[in-house]
Amino acid sequence: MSRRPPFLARLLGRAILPRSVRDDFMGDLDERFAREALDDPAAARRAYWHDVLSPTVLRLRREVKGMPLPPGARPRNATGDGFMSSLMTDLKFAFRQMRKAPVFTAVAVLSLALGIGPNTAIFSLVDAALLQDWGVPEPERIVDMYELTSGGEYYYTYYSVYERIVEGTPNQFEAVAASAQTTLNAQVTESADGEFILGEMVTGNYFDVLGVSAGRGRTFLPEEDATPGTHPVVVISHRFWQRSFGGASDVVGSEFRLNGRPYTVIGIAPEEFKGRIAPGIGSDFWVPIRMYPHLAPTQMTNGNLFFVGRLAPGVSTAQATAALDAVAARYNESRPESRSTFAIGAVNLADVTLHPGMDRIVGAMAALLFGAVGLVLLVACVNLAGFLLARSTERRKEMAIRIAMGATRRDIIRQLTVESVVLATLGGVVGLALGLAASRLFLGVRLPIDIPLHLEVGLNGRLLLFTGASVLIAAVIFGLTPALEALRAPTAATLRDESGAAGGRRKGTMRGVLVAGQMALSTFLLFGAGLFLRSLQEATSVDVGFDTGPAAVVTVEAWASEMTDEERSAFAFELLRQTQALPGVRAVATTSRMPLDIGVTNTGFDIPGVDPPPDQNRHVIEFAAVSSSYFDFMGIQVVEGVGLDGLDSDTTNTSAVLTRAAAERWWPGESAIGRVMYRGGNTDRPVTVIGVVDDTKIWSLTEAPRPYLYFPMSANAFGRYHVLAKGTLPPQRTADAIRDAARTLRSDVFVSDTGTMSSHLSYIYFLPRMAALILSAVGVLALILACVGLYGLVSYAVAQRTREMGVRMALGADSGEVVGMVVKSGLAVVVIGGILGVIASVGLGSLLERFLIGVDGLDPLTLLAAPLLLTGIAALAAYLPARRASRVNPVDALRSE
Amino acid sequence: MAPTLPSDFEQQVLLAVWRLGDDAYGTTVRDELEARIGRVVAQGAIYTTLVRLEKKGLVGSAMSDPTPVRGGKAKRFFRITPEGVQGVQAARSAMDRLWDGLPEASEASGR
Repeated sequence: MSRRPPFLARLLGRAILPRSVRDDFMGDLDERFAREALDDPAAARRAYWHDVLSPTVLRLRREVKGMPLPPGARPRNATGDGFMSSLMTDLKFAFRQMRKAPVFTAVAVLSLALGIGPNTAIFSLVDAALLQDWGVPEPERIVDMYELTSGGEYYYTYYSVYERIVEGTPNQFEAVAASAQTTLNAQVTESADGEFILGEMVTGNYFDVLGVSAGRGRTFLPEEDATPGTHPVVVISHRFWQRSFGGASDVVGSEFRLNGRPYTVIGIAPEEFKGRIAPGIGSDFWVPIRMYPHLAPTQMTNGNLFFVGRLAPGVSTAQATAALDAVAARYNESRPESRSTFAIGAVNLADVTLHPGMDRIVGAMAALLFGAVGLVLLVACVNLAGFLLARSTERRKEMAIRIAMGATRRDIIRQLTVESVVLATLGGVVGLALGLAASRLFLGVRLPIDIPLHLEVGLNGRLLLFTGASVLIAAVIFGLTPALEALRAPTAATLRDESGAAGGRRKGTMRGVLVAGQMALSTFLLFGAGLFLRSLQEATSVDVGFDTGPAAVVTVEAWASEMTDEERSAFAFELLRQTQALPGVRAVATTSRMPLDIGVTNTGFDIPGVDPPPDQNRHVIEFAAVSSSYFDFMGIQVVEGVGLDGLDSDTTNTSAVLTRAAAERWWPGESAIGRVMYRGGNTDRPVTVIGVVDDTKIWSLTEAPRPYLYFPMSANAFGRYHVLAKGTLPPQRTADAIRDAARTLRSDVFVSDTGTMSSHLSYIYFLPRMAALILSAVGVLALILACVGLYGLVSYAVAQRTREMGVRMALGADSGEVVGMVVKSGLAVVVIGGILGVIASVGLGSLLERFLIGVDGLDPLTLLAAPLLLTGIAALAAYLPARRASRVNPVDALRSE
Repeated sequence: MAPTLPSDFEQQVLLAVWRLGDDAYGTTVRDELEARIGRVVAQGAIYTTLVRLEKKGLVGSAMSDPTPVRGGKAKRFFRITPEGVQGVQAARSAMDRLWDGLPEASEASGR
């Protein structure tokens, strides 16, 4: 804790105290603080604040003010000396004004809170996810390295690339470490259920490269990553230590089970270090990468590494990048026969938020959200400008009196500014509370993927700064314009109660601009929200190519326990048999990958007579190993040849079934049956195509049909697979029964998900649903705000014309005609605004197209819905007061004003 | 009639200033009061009273040189004036007269 007096308290004290006692008074406080801080700095700070905030300070101020003034000094105004005291007066006045008009104040504050709330919510989420620190000292000396594809994407890669980099950059990097993101099953005590935790497999120098030392215990020794499978040690995160071990002090040196194997905890990472997956997600463990074969034999061949290097002193990122380019060039020269070009992408850690490739997408999403909520704030501001403008008309007499009494323009502007800042601050505080509540609610939404996400949302300096800035901007936008407008009224005429003195045409113009602006903004915003809602509608009606009806989906992670291949396969068949025998079950199937799941399983093939795509040495084909019952179960039609019947347990068979898209791409217009393919180029065991089936969606709802390959289930090493079942019972009950059967069969087998087809699909619908949810909430808010604002502005403008209508009717005009004329002219600006909004929406639509599923960016229905609805409301807002005015006796109307 | 007597708190502050002699400034006056009567007082209350006493002419003040422990700020030393001494004495004798003939506090019961 700092040994200096609290800065803010000191500033506040100095601001309140009159100059004559300021220095000695604050000096006394500082002296006392210096003495007390030696014992207990926190208590000394509290005491300091206490002294500054004590009401006696204000009493002292009054006491000193009463002192005779030194000769030659003159008071600046009647109530005190200078800025602070006139500010106090303005503040007091502002609060009095607000008390006098409670309805106006409530509407204004609430309206603004509804504008600021979503901003706060989005900001606190973005802050929690994106604005977090990696917890790495000197990030500017760390360089992240990935394999760079020809398409400019940063990919995880292989250990051989690591060796190439280490060998080729001895002078550029002090050291280079490798890391692979991994999920493991952790069992903290023998009796505890396993949980999935996310962490990293790393080279032994990982912590040294990042410059992070253990918070407790130690990090890895060089020998712990020297030989494969010999050192079962783990460093755990501070958070995991707190959550799963209750922060017990004797954790270092103890053992717990990872994937069923005992590992010794050698250290706990410092709290601020979140690992290298994503700061908002965090790694919970680090295990030497050479333990891969011990923990997860089936995952060994995955190219899932990325590298971090610590720059040597005096070496820049650019110099390191040049050396990496040379490494890549040498490698490319060494294999002239290759069709692909190898490249390394390097990024300084100081420039990385999550991942160099993801940053763009996530940034774009965040920008989209901010754009939407920023517009809501703008709508709220326009509303308030409208309210205040109307109110300034009522208050013009007050202003005129003040000017007549000698107030300067500056005084009036200052006072009106203080009033709007006070309103905005109240709105900001309410908005902050609303926003935090909303973001907590949002985080409570269960994620459809099994990633332990631990975003922390709460009040912090950044959030307060952000809300403060929003408030200030809002105050300036909505407060100053009407304030300036109020000053334009001619004083004398106003005091004489002359009508038309309210700034006349200028004020009308101002109102017109506000109405048109409001209309344009709201049209734009509602169109955006509408597009996303339509997109969700379309997304849920896309034909995915398989039966999405009720079914149990149970995920078995057999690789995560210690079993031989024979045991694994026996377990899988037995589980399938028992599932079939469960009450109410009509059909069962297994697959190694669910369609529309995350993650990719692919391998390279040579296809005789068919060239691989440019830049690639082989056809990289995605595949799944499925039971023969899978096609029937999923309702996927065999369109040519046969399915995989009779092949479930035939481990020597090398048949495969292709999708229609694959057959048409490789053998267009010919039959695919009987064709051979060489897996990994291996000509000894050709894979023979025995059938072709219909396409399904593999990755995403928007993709075009993709080539896909199905192998018999015995081709899967039974490491990870899904057991599917459907029948007469609710699918969740069946799923639970399958899990229980698995546990009874072997207690050490880890079942990572006991779900249903619909919970599985919720993953793919999650993003569109979330986007639609947020945007419809934003849209509804905007609609409410826009309706209130538009109604207020339009009806006020029409009511202002009561006198004119009276004159016209007194001169013999038909009341219907007069109403029509007033409504028409009131709607003119609305229509102009609507047209502007539609024009802007057309631009927006093409911008948003890449986020949309199955909806054109210029969807006409959505495009017209918003302006039509809003115009309807504006028409009502114009008609009601006009009709009321037309029924008034013309003489009364003439007297009004 | 004689000038109004200083209030209780004014008397306490005056006595502290008198006792402290050459070393009476905000911090020491506050310490003195806290030490002698165990009362925690806000700095603002001390200062308000000192300023009021100065306006009444019961204390006088002078600024010292700045010292580093105070963030380079000067101290304002207070000193009791003859009027101040008269004031506290008048207050005391008034109290004494009121007390005259009553039992000492230790003998009193059930006030």
